[in-house]
Amino acid sequence: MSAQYINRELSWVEFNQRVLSEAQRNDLPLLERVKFLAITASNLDEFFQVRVGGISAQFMAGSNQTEITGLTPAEQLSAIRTRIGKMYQDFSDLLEKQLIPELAKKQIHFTPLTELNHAQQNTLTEKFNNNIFPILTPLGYDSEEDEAESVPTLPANQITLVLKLQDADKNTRTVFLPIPSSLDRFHFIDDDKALHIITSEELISHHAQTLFPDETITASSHFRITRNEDIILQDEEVLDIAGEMEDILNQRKFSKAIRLEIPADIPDDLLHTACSVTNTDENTPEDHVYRITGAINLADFMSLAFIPGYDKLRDPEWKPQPSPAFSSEQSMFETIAANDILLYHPYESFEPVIRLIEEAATDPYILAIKQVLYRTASNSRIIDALIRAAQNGKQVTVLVELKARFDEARNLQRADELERAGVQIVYGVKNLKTHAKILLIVRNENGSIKRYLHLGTGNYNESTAKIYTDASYLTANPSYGADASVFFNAITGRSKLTDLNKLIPAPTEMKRSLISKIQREAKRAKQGEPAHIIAKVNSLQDQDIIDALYAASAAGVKIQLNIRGICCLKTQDKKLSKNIEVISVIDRYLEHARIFYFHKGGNPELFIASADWMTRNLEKRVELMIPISDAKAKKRLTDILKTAFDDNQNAHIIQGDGTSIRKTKKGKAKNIRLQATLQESAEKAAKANAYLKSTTFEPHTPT
Amino acid sequence: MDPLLTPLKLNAAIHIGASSISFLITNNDGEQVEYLEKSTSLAHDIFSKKEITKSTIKNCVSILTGYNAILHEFGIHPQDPSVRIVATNILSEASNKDIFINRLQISCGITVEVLDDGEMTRLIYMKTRRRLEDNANLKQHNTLVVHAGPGNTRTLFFKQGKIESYKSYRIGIYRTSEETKNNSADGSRSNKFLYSHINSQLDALIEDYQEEDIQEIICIGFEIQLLQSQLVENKTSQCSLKKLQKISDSIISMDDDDIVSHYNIDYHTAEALPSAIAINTCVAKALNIENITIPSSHYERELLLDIHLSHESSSSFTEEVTASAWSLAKKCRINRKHARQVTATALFLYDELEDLHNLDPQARLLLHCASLLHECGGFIADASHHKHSQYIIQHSDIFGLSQSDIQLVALIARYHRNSTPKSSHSIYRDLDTLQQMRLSKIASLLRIADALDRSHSARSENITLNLTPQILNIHLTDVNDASVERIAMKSKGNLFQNIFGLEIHLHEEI
Repeated sequence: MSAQYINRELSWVEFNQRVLSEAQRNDLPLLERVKFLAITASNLDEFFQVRVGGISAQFMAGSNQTEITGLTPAEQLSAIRTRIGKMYQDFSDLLEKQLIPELAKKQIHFTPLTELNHAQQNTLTEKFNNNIFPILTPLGYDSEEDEAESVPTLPANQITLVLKLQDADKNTRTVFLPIPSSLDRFHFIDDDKALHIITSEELISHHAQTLFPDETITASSHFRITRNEDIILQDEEVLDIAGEMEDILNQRKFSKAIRLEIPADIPDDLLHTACSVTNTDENTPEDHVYRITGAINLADFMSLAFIPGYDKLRDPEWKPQPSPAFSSEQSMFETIAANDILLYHPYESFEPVIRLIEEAATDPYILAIKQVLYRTASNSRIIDALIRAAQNGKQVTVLVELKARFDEARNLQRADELERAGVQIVYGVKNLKTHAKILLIVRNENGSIKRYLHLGTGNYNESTAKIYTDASYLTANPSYGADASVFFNAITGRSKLTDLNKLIPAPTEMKRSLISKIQREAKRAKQGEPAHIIAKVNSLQDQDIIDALYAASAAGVKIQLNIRGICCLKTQDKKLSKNIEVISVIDRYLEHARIFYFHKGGNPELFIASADWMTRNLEKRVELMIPISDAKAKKRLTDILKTAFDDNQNAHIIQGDGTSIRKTKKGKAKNIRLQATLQESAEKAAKANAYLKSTTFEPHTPT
Repeated sequence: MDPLLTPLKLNAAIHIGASSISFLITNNDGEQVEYLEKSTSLAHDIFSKKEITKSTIKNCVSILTGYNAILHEFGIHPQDPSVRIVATNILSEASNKDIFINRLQISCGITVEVLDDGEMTRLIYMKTRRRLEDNANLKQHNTLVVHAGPGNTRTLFFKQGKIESYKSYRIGIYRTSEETKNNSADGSRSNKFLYSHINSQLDALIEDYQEEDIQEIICIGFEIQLLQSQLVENKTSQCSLKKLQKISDSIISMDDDDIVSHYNIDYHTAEALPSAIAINTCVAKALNIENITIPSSHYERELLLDIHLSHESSSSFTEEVTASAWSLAKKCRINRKHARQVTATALFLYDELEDLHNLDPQARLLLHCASLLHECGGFIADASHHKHSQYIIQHSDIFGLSQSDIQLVALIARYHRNSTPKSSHSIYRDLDTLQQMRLSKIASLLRIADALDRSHSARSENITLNLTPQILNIHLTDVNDASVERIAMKSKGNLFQNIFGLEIHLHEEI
């Protein structure tokens, strides 16, 4: 392995380990821990589908191409397997030894079906007969026949039961029984004293015999498979590693499973069957066959975290606060025209952004609304407002990114609705994923054009805006507006991207601009000036950026990076990164905002951006990096950046080997927690503003 | 539209250029509201295939359809007078020019005006004027403005800020790159060949200017202005010949990919860059000019801005045009007093009767030139001098007038006496109906003005007009007996009477 960098996949696993470490915390409410465990498992599922799927495709195509640390696809696959194997062990330990016993103390029991009382068992039997039995579809499998012909198509991502059957003549056969995806994973029996939980696989397994009246079940177990074929083709992350293998992928020829999860106690013959239908081998280091003690498919445990009535086992809710910048008496346009406004979500509510679009839909002076939609919420008020705007005769142009992972269907359905209302729809930019978060509203003010903008780091999605930390910048500054107009003309294919005044777009400018800003700090450092870079991104993977940071570190620039996820930069290396500090904050909200600070000799530049410091973002996506000009907003963003490095509760230090350790407070230092600090200050500001309003009265005057 | 809304006051201009179609919307203060640009390969097609390929036409239609959508967003109709859509004059060299223009009309509902030589000269003149205003030095010196265009290179020569002469040479950026493309065995550019090809075509230019004491040279053009920041010395707009030569050499040695990545430009522009810079270099070198001024402005945006201004041509430009016509008239030894008198009267009639004739400002300029030149045919022979006038004007250059405008001036002069326009006159017949009408209106004014100075004594200097529903009354102050004019009006007033349905009555006022 090249000593200069950290492998991207392994770095990601360490990130997931940090999420898991939240679930391992004794001091967190129990159901919060269950939630973090489910998130970890769900993250892992996506990682297999997308990343491991891609590397497997490369491996199967016979590629020996190495990544930045010098690993071949085969080497990566086996390194991932070793590392994930440990993570599964952590899952089991946590669930079996900690969470289940702790839940039991709170009278939430994973009770074996047979230990339930008669009446309770009858309830479940009735449920099985009425609701489950009719939707079960057993699939026969004859291992003697030509394999390719006889292998049934087993659904991915769900648990499938595997049963060995024997008839009166001692003939045996194997049957698969996939658990329908529409079925809830858990069945609850509440008997006043306690809540009993029974899993679907147990319930079905218990009653499986009724499906085969003429045969006897001699052995049974279950497994879960993960395949790459479902989403692999839409994802440019995979294509960028698979590169020239695209054609092979398109043919979807291989049916090999990417991952096979089986219970540790599975009988040998059933293990053999499971491996043979998934074309995997437990003893091949590149094959991801995992034996798991305890429950599999832990992502389903998310539903347990939200069971009603157990609020004591959960954190009290943090409510998004109204920003003091807006008032109900003043239109959004007046407010934004007066000052640039920064919002930091979800501490501050996303509501003003929705309100802006809703006001634009009915404001008679609005000529046009243009927006990039990447992932929208299921009942998006934003889309409703855009439809209303089009119906009111505004020119509405929306770029809907179909390549947004996992959300294609939803995006398409709403796109259809928009189109019917007369919205001009553009389905993304060819060969590039459009990831910029931008909204442009064009208004006729006394016969002249005025442009209002929202620029952000997060999607226009009111649901995720409640759980992701993101920045919004609202401005009517004409040079930003002119740039936005040029940008939309470019992404809708009407113009080439000509020079912009303020906004820095990818894939054309952003990387070059970032590197030159890093180099400029290095230059200052060399001349003995104080030089400082602070950046908050979700991932740092681009080699050129990392090299520029190494060079800046060597030149003496103080570099502080707050990276939630992947970090391919090798920290704590005396030669490479002695001035670089990397932390990662994992807390209640998903850290998502990208904010950059360049000291620039004491006259700092601040940016927010839609892009991470990854090659895919900087070279293969349409992104925006937005300079912040408002002094108050700059100060606030700088504070947010700096507070993260004071966090001694939920921050982790990224170590030289890519692993992380939680930061702890020293001595009698105060507890500092970034997310709690930001929530408190948002609450305080909202309260102060509410008080101010309750004490100032504005008379109604005839207009 | 909502009654609350103040309508937007916007102007739009679209330029279908050699390698791109650009689009500018400005507000009434001339500030940019939108600027769009997309690449096409018009020049490439025209100079390599002599026609515009189907795929290029399709591409142009799709670009213009997009621009139409933007116009629509601002509530502007493409046929509004605030919209002007022009195309590069190299279109005339495409065998399917008409098909192309019709296709744009049908598919996009737009009417495209092909920029002719005169209009192009005017646009370059406008750009230059601005440079001269900015720089006192240029205004005082003998300055040559060079514009290397896609098909032709134009020069404008200024002495002390006044236009002295202008020329157009058949050496252009795309013309040159197509002509030189296939001349090296491996298809790569050879700098020796490119330079010698250009130099071989500069003889006429050298001939025209070597005697002049040229002190300054201004290079204008899309490509050279694109490289401005890399060519000029810090904080000036001056580039040394040495540096220009160096950069030209280096660009010629690069392939298109290198140019694209090095200068961060698109492939269409990259293709044109070597010959563009080479032509400018060769011209400066041929004229032995050490310092070259390259304006920092954005060529295309400025052009689109000026396209808007065209219909209200700046007064200095009008002066240059009439000065050019006057110098031609002088060459033909016209009766200066008569010409001045007729011109003054004709313009007086034009201004006073504006509500009646409804002609555009450009028509006034044509009337102005034709009045100055109407008797220039007398230089050849007095008999049928109107026909000689037509001939002379038609084959002369008048600065700032397009070929079609010159044609009109020639016809206006032709119809200042004898026959009125008839469809048996082939050149008249070839005009479209609107132009025929325009010509007749302008000529009718000239005929009255000429009749009023029948005595060639400039005695009808002070006239007043009075218009009734049936009669145009012309009052001649200080004229005792206007019978000469009355007789003349009998034969010359007929065109006016026929067109406007008004009788002309002359009144002596003492």
